[in-house]
Amino acid sequence: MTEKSKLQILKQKYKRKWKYILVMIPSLSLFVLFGIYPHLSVFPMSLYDWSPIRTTRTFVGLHNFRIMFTVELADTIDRAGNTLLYIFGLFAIQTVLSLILALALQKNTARNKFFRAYFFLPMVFSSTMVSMIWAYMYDPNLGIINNILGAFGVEGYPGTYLFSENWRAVILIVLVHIWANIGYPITILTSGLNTISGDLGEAAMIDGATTWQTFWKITFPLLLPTLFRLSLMTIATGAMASDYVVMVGSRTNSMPYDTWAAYMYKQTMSSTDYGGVSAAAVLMFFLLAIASLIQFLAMRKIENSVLG
Amino acid sequence: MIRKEASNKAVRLIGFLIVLVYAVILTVPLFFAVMTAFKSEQERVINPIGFPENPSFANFVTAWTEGNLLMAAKNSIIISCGSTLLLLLSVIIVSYSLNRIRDTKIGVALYMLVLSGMFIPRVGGVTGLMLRRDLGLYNNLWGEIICGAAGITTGVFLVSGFLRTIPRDLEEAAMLDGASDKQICFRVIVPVIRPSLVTVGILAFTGSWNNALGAMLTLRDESLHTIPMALLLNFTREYSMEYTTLFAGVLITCIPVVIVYCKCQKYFVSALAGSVKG
Repeated sequence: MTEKSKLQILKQKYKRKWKYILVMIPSLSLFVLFGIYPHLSVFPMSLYDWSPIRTTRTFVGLHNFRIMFTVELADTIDRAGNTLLYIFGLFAIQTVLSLILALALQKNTARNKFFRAYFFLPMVFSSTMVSMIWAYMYDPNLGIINNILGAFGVEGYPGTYLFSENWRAVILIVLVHIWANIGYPITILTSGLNTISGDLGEAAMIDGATTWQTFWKITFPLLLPTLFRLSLMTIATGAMASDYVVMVGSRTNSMPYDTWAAYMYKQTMSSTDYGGVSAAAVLMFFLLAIASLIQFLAMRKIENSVLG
Repeated sequence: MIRKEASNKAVRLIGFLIVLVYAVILTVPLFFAVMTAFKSEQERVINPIGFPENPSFANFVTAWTEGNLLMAAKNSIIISCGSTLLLLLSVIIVSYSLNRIRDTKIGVALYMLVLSGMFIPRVGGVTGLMLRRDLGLYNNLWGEIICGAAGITTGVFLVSGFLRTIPRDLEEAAMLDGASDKQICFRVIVPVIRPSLVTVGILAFTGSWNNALGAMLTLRDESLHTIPMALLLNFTREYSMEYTTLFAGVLITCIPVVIVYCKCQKYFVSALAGSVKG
């Protein structure tokens, strides 16, 4: 075969781009239909009064939003507060704890590998299983924690409902979330730590720096990009988290400690006011979009200042 | 110098103590769950914390029959395997095709379309539910499989990144030998990108296997319940929980998962680490 005919064959092959587009159509249309369309169609649907049991729907304008900010204002504020507390609690506790654990287990000894694998284990449990186990720990009547507190003579236990205060309920649920998922940040941070060359730290140590100084002056700045990527994901997960709120707490009734995502889920499950749920979804959409935009910009700035 | 050594040792010791404390925190709930599974309901009330006095397997038998776990396992396997395989096929086709036309405008645009799934907040629970009801993909296993296979964003992102590192010579050599696109894709490219496909497959499978809330919205018939749903619905009552049978059920369903995890632990860990690096 001459060079020229080779080129011709290749050219011909690459030209047939429509063939490639055609084979992608089934997958892409499934993706657009179920992966994109529902999340955007909450915008028009939030302007209607509609429900799954009626076939007709009526246009009501911004009525659904008005209700959220007038009649249900107190609940709306509560839910927003719970969501923020959930995000903040998850972010603060999980990041610090996983960073400490990742640093302590950084060296690849057999012992450290075992602990890393063990801390990862709950990741393979379903959220249902985790929630059931912790529902038993938190159970007001015969739960383990109440029993232990009672055995130590803490007043009011057993028999006291651990979720009686909203902020406490949210934090207790966040702890379940962290318990189940800490393997993930540990994995990310460990692989981040492994990319940092050990020579820098060793050089600093020889120059007389303590472990503490080496961490703050060398490891931490180099780990910042990883930490930021991780916090981006943590915040998004926290904002969308509903599994543990719904399953550790009450599965059907709306509760004062519900986060926004949990409230939306419970409404979808048990109410028929789908217009109201759509309006809540629209609000959530904006909050998440703004949050991820800010994070994205901040991350780029930090990465530039660290790397560039 | 000696003081520095001592402080370094102290830091390391404190670090290890935190690890040990966390290991205990991780173990305690698991310990109580296992202990409870071997107690009778009366014993649990009298003696919630201690070891079971006369451990029995009665709860496991009850859980297996009352919890309908065999049927739930069947449904879970059908849904998770079906949607994972379909998703993988979808991801392979889309990534391969997009990689081929990545220099054209429409190729870039389609890639952007797929990646937009990362930035669009996933808030459309209600509208998605109604859409599936209208399309007849509600309350049946097919709906679960098809909708599970629709989320190709992460998969295409990971596999495309991998594909870009493969030199074009490989495909061109196969082309000149007269191989068709199908042959090039599945015989030449797929074996090369297998690591990223394993990642995508594990992420998809565990996500689908553990999905409880989503499935509860769409699978209303009892005969369609998956394992997480069976645990959640068959052992819990409105005002009381049968914790002893519940935990027996939990143990039965999690033992296969734990065995698989112990065997393929490195795949799980690298799948999750790989899902971020991209």
